[in-house]
Amino acid sequence: MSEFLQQIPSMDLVLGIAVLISGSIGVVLGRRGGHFRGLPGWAGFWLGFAGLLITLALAPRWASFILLAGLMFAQIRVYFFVAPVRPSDRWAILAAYLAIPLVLYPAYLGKTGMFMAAVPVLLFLSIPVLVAIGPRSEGLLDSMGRTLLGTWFFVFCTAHLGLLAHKPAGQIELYGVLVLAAELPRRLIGPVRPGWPRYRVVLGVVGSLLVAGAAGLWLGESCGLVEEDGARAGLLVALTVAGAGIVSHAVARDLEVKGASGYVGRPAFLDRAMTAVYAAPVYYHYLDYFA
Amino acid sequence: MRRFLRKIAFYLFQLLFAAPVLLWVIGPRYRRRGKLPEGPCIIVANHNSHLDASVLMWIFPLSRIFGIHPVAAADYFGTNFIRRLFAMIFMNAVGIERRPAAGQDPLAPLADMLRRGESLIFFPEGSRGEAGVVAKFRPGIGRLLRTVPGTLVVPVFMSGAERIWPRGQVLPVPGSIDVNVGRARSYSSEMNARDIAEQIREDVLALAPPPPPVPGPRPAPPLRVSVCCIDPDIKESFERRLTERFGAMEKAMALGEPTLEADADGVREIPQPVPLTRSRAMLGFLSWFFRTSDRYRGPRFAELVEKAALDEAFDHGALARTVIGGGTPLVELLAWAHADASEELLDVATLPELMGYLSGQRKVQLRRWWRFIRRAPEVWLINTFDLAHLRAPDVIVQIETSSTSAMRRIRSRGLPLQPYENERFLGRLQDGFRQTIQTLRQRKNIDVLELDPSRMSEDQIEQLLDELCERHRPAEPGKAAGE
Repeated sequence: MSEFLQQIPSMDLVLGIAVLISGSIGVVLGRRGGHFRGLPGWAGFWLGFAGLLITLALAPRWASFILLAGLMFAQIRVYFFVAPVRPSDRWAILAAYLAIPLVLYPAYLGKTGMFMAAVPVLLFLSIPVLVAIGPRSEGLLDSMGRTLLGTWFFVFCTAHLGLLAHKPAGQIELYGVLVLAAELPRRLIGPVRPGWPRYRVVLGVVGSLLVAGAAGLWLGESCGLVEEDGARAGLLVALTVAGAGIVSHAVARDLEVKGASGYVGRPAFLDRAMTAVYAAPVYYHYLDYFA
Repeated sequence: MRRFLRKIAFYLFQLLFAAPVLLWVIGPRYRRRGKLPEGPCIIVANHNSHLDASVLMWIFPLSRIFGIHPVAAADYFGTNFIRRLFAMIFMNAVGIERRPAAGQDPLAPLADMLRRGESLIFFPEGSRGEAGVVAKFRPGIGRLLRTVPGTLVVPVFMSGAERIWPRGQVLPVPGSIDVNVGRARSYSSEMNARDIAEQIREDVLALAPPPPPVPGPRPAPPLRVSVCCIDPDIKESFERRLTERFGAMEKAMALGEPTLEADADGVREIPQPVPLTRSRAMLGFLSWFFRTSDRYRGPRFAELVEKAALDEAFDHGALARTVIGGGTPLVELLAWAHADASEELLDVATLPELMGYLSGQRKVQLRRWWRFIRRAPEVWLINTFDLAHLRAPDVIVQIETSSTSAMRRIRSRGLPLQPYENERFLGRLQDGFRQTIQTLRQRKNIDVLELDPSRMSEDQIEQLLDELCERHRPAEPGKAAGE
């Protein structure tokens, strides 16, 4: 058994243990109801997401990228169901799907420059044209906003995981650990509701910063980062995850997703996926330019 | 042999093409598919896309799908080889003539199939129609059910298919589909075929989810007005007066018994405007089992939850701009809980906490369950079972009246007195209303109008009511936009 454990890269083990701890907390607290009832589902999502990160780190790239493309496809599909656009914008939706292979190809090759050029040219110049081509009807800007936002979150941000797969061993798993560490306090405190005292929000963000910062400080070295860089990456990820939470709740409020439906089904999947991938570009570019 | 080959082709298509496409590209989410009957039945659904039949077929387990036949228009699917191959072989469909020749009964083969124990997928709209619109159901389904009486019909509502592959589009776009399966039921064969079709359409539409929010500004939630008074007659009369006044400005509704609707044309009684789906029997049982207070025992508790659900349904503001309640469920429950157990459970400090529980913002903690089950079970039931999220009113009309005169009026009705109908309790209830209003005012900007009919003249009351309505007169559209 110990030989088997020794063969597993240490960061994969750390990520696995982090998911197990969070999952156990989620399952135990989930029975209490209230905002805790979403925790088992969140833990389940992380089991799959951590599996994807480990696959991206260890498996052949052609196989792991197919899984990544599958996640992006599922995210986009759910997004356009929860936030529908005008029926006439079918071509824009199709473009959002087609963007997946087009964006993943440079990520597969590890060509950051090509990736950074492909995203704005392909997505942000072609999708508005496709939305505008349709018959004249009301809601063009809203529709364009919805399409671009979905593409931004679930194609652009998620594709950064593919770029992270090219980083030195352990850094993509570290990303998983940091996001999980940043999310856990926030999930435990629950979504911010009108009338709730502000200290809860502050408590959530401070908790995320402390846990993620400490995790970065502790684990950074084992991924080839100096201690300070690990801690800074943790703090950046925690802040970005807090931002993702704010955006996710604002989008849910705008789409009138509330009550029990916020904890289950498609809206819950989007919320979990959005917070999991939102910090990927920040983390990637921090490592690329500053660490 | 021919049937065997057909079966092979059918299963190959379903397993190698239809199932993977459904699973990976569309990902339908079936709700309540466990409710499907074991025997033959007719699945009746709205129709917007060529995908519908395939999605519906996979409601059934693999072992049953060869016995499920979508009913397809013979004049469309029988026109060329490709369509015939896909519809009749790969989808196991049965053709029906939409315009049969004289003397021909197009429903006869369908009736035979049902008698043989096979099931059908039926789209009574007749064609895919306009995306997202459920057209009128044709009477064919009614005639079929009259021919084979007792056949179980499973209403199903599908949403999302119209966005994936609507009529007139060559290319499907990946997306998700929600499939809401309803309870199987049969229809009386004595009913007219058109009435059966209409009834089925209503059953299908009852499964429709609320429409997704449309881009642009949303209607504001309605103005909620609550009348608090311990005298039921005075309360009812003020509810009516307020409904009439607010209705003259914009559409208003009063959620009393009966439900009132008012607009510029006056006040009228209407049936319940929103279908209520909660099981009354289950709610009654819960309230009996957990011994809720006398006021909310059995069916009365179910009524309270229904009233709260109705109140929630007005949230989007399209049904009415003003909703008047004889004490909204939140105010009523808080006041009653206060009156019921003021010494034991509640004090002024507990009310905000209770308000959080009733409005769904907080959960009763596990360690406090027993205390609540014993002392305020209705609050615990609503919170723990997520029965309703009670809304706080925007306006409260508090009518002071003496408990003696209220009791005199209650006795004069000649009905047997309820255990809570006594002067002492009514006095406590009045106090409960005061405490509740004070607590609500700390949390929300509520306009409270205090009236005392015994000390005020009718003119004074009329003037105060007029002023109240004036304060809440809806802004002109131009002014609201700041023009």
